[in-house]
Amino acid sequence: MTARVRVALAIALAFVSVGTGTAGAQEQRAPTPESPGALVERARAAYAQGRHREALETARRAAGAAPRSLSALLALGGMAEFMGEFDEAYHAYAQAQALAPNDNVTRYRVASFATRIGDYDRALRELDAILGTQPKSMQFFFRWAPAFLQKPLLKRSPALEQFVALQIDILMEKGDVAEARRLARRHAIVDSGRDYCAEADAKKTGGGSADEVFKAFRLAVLGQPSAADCIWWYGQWLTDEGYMRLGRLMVEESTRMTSSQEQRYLRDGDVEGAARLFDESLRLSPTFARPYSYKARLALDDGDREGAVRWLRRGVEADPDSWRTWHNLGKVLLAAERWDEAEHALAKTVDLFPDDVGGRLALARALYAQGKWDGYRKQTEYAVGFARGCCGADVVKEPAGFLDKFQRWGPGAVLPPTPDPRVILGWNQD
Amino acid sequence: MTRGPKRALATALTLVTLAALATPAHALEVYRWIEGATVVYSDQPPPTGAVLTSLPRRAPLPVVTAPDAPRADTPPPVEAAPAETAAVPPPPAADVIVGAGPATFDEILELSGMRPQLPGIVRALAAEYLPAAGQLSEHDTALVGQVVARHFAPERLYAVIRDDFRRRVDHKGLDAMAVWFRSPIGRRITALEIAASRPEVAPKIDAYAAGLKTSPAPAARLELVQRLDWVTGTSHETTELGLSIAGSVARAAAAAAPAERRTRAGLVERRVEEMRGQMAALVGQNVLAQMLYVYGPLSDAELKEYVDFLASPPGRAYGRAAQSALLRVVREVADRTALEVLRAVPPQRWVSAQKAAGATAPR
Repeated sequence: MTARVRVALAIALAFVSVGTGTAGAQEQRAPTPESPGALVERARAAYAQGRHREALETARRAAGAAPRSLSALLALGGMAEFMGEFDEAYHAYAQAQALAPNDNVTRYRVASFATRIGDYDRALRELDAILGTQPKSMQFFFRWAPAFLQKPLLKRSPALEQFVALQIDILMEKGDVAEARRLARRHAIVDSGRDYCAEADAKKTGGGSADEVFKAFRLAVLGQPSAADCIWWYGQWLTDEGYMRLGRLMVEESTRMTSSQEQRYLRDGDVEGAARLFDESLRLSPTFARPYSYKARLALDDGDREGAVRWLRRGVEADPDSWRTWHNLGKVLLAAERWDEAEHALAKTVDLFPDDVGGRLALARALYAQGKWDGYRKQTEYAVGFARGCCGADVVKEPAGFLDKFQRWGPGAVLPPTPDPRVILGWNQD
Repeated sequence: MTRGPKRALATALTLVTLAALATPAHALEVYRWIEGATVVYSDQPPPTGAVLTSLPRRAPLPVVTAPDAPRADTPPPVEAAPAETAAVPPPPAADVIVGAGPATFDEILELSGMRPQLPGIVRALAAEYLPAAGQLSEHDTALVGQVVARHFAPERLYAVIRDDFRRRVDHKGLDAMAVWFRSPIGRRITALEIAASRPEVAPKIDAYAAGLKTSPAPAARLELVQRLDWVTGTSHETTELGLSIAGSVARAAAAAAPAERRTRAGLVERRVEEMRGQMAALVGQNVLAQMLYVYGPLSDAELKEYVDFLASPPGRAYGRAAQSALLRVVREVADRTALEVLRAVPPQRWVSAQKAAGATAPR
């Protein structure tokens, strides 16, 4: 959503530029049905109605009909970027910049695109150029004015606002979230003490537009470093939209924050503090599954297995696609020897995430306990094969040895082992 | 002979394993203490102030003894059966009536060796809770002894096991089991297992196990013994019994701690679980060595017949029922015993006694 919104903003800017007169003579003429201006309008309408493919096709026609129309080129660049056609977007932006090298909208679009494709130097050059177009006094103010003066300044100068936004994006893309947050505070993009995460959640649940919701979560990421759940959502949206690097970074950041809560509990034994944090996470983002797992763990640590099952069931209701929550539920049910329920939860787990070796081995145990030998064998073979392929034979030595005995001697008296090796790498822990 | 004796054997092996951890043949010093909620075994002394717990003592363990008869086919890889024990063991007990009619629960538990071996098993488990000589004052030692004796009463435990067994097995199943247990081979194997549980043979087993390193068992025999362990789950069961004891001490220690420093129940369980891997590896090796020793007098064909029975539906049914019954009663009794022991003699008294004696006293 996030990236989608960002590109949508760019597209809107491109559309706006149709009427700004910066594109030269062609935009000055009244649009006819097949004029570039009319095609851009139609592309915008198609985009607004969700007919993205048609919007791209129309933007192509506009740019084809008027290869020197800045608005048509920016529209094509924006739509192509939105649709993931990066080569086409690159060429469209290059043509647009050749046409209007001093146009700030074009510079902003080029900088934004450069950020997306990882060309940070290019993006920074464009930003410098944008800043250079501002009056000297404003540049000075922008660079040196205290935070409380920044807000009105940015309000007066959309170019500077874009400048800061993009600079923050670049820093985040580069992995320097701390610096991005510093910059956001410096330019009063965020205020300390404000609960952005709650506001974002309210916008999300209150049916705010995608644009609003995206902006709200972005502010939460910048203004509330401890808002693990909001950061997580932001990361997921970025990932969904193809901003893999930044998305992954955000997911890792949220994981780190959540882990620190857990560490606080484990290190300090601060059960109540940890529980409060998890409750707050649930309140802010009831569909974020991870806190349910932590609440389940707290229940388990109290020896309350039924309580743990209840929390995990709530977790999978809140987010039925959270394989990790299904996994945890299956494991707790497995420990309780509730085989058929465990089988269901674990089957769901591997359905959602087939390479979950631990989940698959746990499913194999549930099947074995019920005498479903063939199922046990298949699940174990898959898990062992996958784990060996990715991480070496030692990772699944015990299950492999057990399977070997099973193949030789048939069912034994003991249930198969269920190690949960960490063979899954990176951000996809949820 | 099957699961019951196997069961009993498993328990004995658990104890042997624990004994091996505590006082191995090579006379390594082993320490056991409570760290947080975990019972730690180590060859290094614990940190100052740790609560040392008793380790099972060699003497009362129903250690598997040397076989009473030589192997029928090939001789064992190492000399295991001294001449004076190389006699066919007597049938289980003179008063056991081996009838041809419907089997009874008592008959099966007797013929399988469960009942005859239970006192030794119970004695060995109880020893887990007793302090080392001089570890506590005479008064406290007596208090602990009374608590342990009250809970680990063989006849009471047998009654619970029989009732549990009765709930899990019907008469048809009982009769199917009786076919094996009444057979000459079945009775012979039970006798071997009972004879093997005599404590005085422990040194022979140690020597035999040590000899396996230089003179391993024949592959075919090893395969049979591994399969025996597979179908009975002896290693697993032995580990479970060991964990029951260790877990009971850990749970009781946690419960006895002041509220503000009390380890949460689930965490105690997790720590106990973490011990499983360490214990299972030790137990697995021990069990195989002991099985090789105990069944040494049997031919491969006889041992295979035994394994086949254990893998058959009646054999599995017996194994499941006997294992569940024994584990359940041991877990319950262990938890009660540990709680009462620490109630009778609070951890502070164990600690102060240790400090007085020096924290490094091996158990």
